[in-house]
Amino acid sequence: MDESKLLFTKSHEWIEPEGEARRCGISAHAQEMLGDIVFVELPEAGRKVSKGEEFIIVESPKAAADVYAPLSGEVVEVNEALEGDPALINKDPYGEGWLVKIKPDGTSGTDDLMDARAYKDSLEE
Amino acid sequence: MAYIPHTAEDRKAMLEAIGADSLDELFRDIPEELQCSTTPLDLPPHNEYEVERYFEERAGENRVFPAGRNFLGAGAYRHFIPAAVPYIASRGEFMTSYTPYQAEVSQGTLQAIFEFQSHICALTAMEVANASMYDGATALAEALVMALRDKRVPRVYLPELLPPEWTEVCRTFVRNIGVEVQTIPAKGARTDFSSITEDAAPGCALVVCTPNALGGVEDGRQARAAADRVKAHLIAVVNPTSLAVLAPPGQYGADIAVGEGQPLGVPVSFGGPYAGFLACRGRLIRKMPGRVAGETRDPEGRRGFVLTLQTREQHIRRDKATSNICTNQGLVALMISVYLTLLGREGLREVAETSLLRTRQLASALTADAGCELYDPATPHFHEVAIRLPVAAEAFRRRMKDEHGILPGFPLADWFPSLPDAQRLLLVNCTELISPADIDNYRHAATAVLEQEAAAGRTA
Repeated sequence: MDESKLLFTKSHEWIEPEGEARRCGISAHAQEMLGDIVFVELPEAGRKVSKGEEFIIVESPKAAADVYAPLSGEVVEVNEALEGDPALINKDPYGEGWLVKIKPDGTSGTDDLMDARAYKDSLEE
Repeated sequence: MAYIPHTAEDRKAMLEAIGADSLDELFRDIPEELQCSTTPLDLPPHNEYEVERYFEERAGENRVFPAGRNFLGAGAYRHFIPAAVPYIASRGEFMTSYTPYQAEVSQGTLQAIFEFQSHICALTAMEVANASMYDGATALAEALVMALRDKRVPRVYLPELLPPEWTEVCRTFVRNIGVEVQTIPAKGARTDFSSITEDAAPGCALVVCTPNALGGVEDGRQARAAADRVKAHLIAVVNPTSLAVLAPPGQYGADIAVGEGQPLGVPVSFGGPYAGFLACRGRLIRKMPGRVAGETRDPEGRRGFVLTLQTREQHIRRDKATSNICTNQGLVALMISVYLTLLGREGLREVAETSLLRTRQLASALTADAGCELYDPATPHFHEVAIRLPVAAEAFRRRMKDEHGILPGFPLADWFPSLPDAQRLLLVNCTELISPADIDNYRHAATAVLEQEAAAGRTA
């Protein structure tokens, strides 16, 4: 996945900008801050989420962090590979380490999301 | 680092949030004469010896019934406790250590927890157990919340024959989180799981308590089927001693098993401290309250223990923690581990079989010639059984105690006033501490009391 094409939240999630079912995950910076990820608690496919809702928990040996929905919509698919190998998030946060696919319901905008450059700048602030 | 719990501004903000004007208003439920801020503590001047003597005298007013004259169970059970149990548990390394904050330097504590968990898994035939809970009732309440977290359907089914104190604790836990509590009715000394039909509303948890509050042994498979009908997790509340002779929860497909650990090497004391246990399917481990100790290897390949899964606890997850428990009942869990290690599989089986045998012998003695009946002869029991007396149970209990020095059991009207003949029902318990001679004593005393009551025309 090409990082430069993704949209980011202030709370370190990313989502694909276009498409029916858009992948989302956590940023390289987020996985680095958490350290070795040992478990991910994913929602069930079919769950409706609102933008900003906690819907995933990512757990490292010393912390468990919430992931917030970057857009409102329905979770249409979850990355089942993470069940056996949650460290994929550390290895490839924008690729094999994706978390879920969300089908946006159009009720939440993307104006407050950042592109890769803006997100990178925000980390340096 | 200065330890300043709250500033004046913090306090003001908190008082505003709950709608109180001042701290005094917050504490106004406390009668004024009891508030130290208005009335200085006026302690009478006594020296250490005088205080000790005072309490000795108060303790001397207790009437202690020897093991062979005590047939009171109803949730707390006297069993033989090998001397090594209190000896090991009172060693300073265990007794004075608080919950491990820098967990991995406390290898002994972690090993004790790991062994406790292993024992509980073996007893319940479940895949994973946590480091222990405060007591059995809170373990059940936590299991309900755990099921809710997993299923997100705010309805639980509790059996009518759950000890009422447990029901009360459960209701307290779920009262403010919008969970509806449904009761599964009893039929005799058993729960009528067939009353939960396909039409019943879905729930997150259905509870089977076996043996139940009347001593009846439930059919775990029927409970499993009922739980499936409402798409709920099956939570089994079990007496741990009974698992040496009865089917363990893992065998009938329970999702979570909980219970009170007191019967395993912990003396009956005035309400505690006891320890609860909680075990579940591996799939549910992240929904579990509390913590788990794990076994591992260090870089040099040596066996070691770690505290794992505490990331869901309060000191890390704050309001999103799986529970308010942020530790475990360490010392009591240790006593349980030592007890089970000393007895082993065979020893525990002997305890369970003897307890069951004595209870059966007592029930036979009372029903044979003392004019008593089993409340529900069709339902199997373990080491406790509900008996219907020909007289009021409370009067019987008083005379047995005052005139014969025997605590004959627990009058069930205190728990279940609306059962048929509730006033005449007595729950009797025998453990391996009761000998055949003790049962003879009971029978003779009971026969005498019942004859006197009959002569006085007080037969029901």
